[in-house]
Amino acid sequence: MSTTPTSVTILIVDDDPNDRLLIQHAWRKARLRNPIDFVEDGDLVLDYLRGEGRFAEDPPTLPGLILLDLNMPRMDGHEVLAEIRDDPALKHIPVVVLTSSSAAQDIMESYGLGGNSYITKPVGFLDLVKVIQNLGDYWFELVTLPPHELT
Amino acid sequence: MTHYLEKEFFTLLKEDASVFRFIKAGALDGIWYWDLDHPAHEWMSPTFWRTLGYDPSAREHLASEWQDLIHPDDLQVALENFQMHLDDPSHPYDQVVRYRHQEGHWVWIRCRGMAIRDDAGTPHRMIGIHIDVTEVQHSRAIQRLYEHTPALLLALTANHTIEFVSERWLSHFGYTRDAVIDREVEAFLTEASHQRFEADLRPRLVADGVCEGEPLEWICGDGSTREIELSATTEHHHGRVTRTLIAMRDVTELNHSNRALQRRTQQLERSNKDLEQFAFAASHELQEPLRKINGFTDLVLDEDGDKLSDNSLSYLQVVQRAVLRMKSLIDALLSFSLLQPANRLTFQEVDLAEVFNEARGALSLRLEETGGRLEVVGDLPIIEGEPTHLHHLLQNLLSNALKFHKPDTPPHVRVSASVMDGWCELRVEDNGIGIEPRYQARIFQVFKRLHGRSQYQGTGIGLALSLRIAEHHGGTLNVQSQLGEGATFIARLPVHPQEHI
Repeated sequence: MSTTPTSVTILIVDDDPNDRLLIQHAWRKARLRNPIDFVEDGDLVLDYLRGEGRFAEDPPTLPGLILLDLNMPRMDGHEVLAEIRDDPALKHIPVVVLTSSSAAQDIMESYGLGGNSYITKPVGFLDLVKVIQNLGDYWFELVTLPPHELT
Repeated sequence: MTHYLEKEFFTLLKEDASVFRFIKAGALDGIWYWDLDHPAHEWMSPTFWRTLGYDPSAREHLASEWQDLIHPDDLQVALENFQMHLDDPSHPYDQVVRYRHQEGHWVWIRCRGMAIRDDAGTPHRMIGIHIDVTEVQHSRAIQRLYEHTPALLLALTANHTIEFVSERWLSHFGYTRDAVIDREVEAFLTEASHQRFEADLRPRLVADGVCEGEPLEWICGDGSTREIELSATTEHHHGRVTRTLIAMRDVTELNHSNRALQRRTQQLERSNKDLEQFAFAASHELQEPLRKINGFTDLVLDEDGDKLSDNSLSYLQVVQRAVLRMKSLIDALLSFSLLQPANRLTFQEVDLAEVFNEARGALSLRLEETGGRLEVVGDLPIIEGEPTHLHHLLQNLLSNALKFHKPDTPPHVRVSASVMDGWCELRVEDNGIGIEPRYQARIFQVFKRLHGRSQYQGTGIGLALSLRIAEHHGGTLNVQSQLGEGATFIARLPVHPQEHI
């Protein structure tokens, strides 16, 4: 049985509460029905994905897509990405880097580490809505995500 | 009283011709015997000719033979002395003259002669001797060279004591001649230099006979040290070094300024890099809060827009316009900071005609809006440059030319280029509002604007960026304009920028 796209959870990693709020609003405005989970830093992403630490009691199901910020305290986005790609249980999960940086070096490194897409956070809220809408169209309509039950 | 050996010697000389032949061959560089009654005839000894490089057997013993070889000036002197000696036996016939050696160089000869006279004192013959003094002349020349040369010259004996030094050497290092002659060279070297001299230089001089530009530290008369570069060559005799000739170059100031230059270059590179990183990081940090302002105003408008008064709505629009403006300024700043310094650019062939077409494409909307015209006069050349940068440059100039048009006149922009002596002169000429000469320098500064934004849009960074691009290519950017009479921007770019930066 294949997972229906709308049931796929999206994990959003961002340390900035205001950004998380904006993304949440944009998500709603883009009328995406997938559940979203937020974590605030790089270390927590790995706990979330591996069902460790704070998430040990009630391990979440693996997300179908990760939106990853780069500039974070403690483990930064690139390190998280490297860890995910290095972990046989996690490496298939698509990771979209969503960050304020547009530095060539960041872009190169993200793709080099196996990031699936790189998106610079737009300045306007409506632009953000558009980005989220496109993300949804692409990842939940157009592409075939890794089958859930095999993970 | 004549010594018995002297008496015996002269007797031997008269009786045994082989004794005279020995003296003739060994002690003299030539003997001549001249028939003054028939002055065309003059016997010259074989050594006379060998000294000048000629085969004695082919000679005909004519006075004209030596007169053809002697330096004309010296012949004059010799003939004058000859005449005076004939008139007055007490006037010596004795002068140093130059003879042309068979190989072309001059041989310096001390020539002395004595007329043989009869009892009445009338000269009938003349006898003369030659001594080759070329080496004496040369060492005299070298002596003078040592006195007058601005070079720091030094000669060492086989035992590495100082044999002679140039006057300039003494004054440069602050020594009197007495303080250095016969002293060992080691006394003038610092500890480290002495070790190097012994361990490295001396063996190499023995082996190769030459060294060049060897750095050493030399101790001066006042105890201070100078950094020198030493070049040397050795003279040998029977396989042993007999003398070392040394020329020194004082490189203290040169080394000092080289090191200072190197330090400053490193500092500049570092601060340049810091600045680039700073500008990049700063513009990113500046964008963050901006994104929040914009995002949350949007959110307010989106969620509660219908509950706001018209005033509040227009206030929020002001906020958003300001944000967009700020955003474009930051973007401009970012692009300015990302402009690579010249030494990191890689140049390639760029067809300016293609660049123009791309730029025209990018500006098509503005052309439509203004009803303007953009034309190329003549051909645009291919030059070397950084394609993206040259594109920025031309597009900025075209965009400016289209932007600042007179309110009632659509812009007409003419682009032309000429190449001469390795330089490309790219001209962008418009019929716009023009620029007062006193403001022309200001337009190339970052964020400087001559007009309110309500009149003409823009960040005030385009021309600053263009100037920097031109300069990074080793070129210049200038404007010619009068108020109200259009403006012509002239970018002078080298065809091969690598040679100019």
